[in-house]
Amino acid sequence: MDFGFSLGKSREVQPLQLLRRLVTRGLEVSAVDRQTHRGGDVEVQVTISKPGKLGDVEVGIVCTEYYDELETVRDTDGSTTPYRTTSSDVVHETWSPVEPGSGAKTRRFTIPPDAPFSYSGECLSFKWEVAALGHRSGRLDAEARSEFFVRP
Amino acid sequence: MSPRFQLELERERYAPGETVKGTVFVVEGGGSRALEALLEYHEETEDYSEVAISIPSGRLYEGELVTGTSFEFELSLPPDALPNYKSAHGELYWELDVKSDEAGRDTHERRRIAVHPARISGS
Repeated sequence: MDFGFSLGKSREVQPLQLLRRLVTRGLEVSAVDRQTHRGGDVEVQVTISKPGKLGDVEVGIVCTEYYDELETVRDTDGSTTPYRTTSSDVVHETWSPVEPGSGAKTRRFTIPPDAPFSYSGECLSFKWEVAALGHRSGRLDAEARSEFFVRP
Repeated sequence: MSPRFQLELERERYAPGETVKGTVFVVEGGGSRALEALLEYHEETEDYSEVAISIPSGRLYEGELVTGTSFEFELSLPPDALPNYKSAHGELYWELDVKSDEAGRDTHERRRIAVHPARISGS
């Protein structure tokens, strides 16, 4: 499955996420080890280089489920045409605030033992990401993400 | 007439790399070109399903199936087999499918098996 950004993939959330990431400067996030397992930990490093423009920053882990659905579109003549689309749903997220100021900071998160494992399939997928959000008053929030892998 | 089967497995729960052993009993004979067992990893959402992995036994028997006969099979799960998982919008699971290849619609006897995660070593 392609996890690229397309409007059809996640009808509401992803276009806004895409916009946040495009306008984000001075905020980077990554998993120190790119692979862990359910019940294990992941250490997340967030690097802030433009603290004044980011507002309050939070760092976290997010698991998104992508699943194919059959939907229909109504044609102008009143008939309906079925089509296949991929929807998404956040199935796990944990967030932690980060102290203000520039530099690299780390946070450790535990993957719940009963959470999904990383899986990229044809009609069902689970994607884990580390994420950082900068809450900017009166402006679009800043957002950075990076994928990591959770083994069963 | 299509045959009917009864499927017996040595057990219902497995770990990656283990062998699934079982027997297919022909409870009602019928026309068949070939009999085969398949171990499959399925993805399923409310509207769609896909087979992500399919491990065939090869032909257990070829030709007409006679009532009262039985066929043993063994299929190995991959060492890195993923476990079953049920989510809010879908499911991943292993299933054994005994398939009789027939003219027209094939006959299937299916049974889900539980596959649990491999033990974590290190990390």
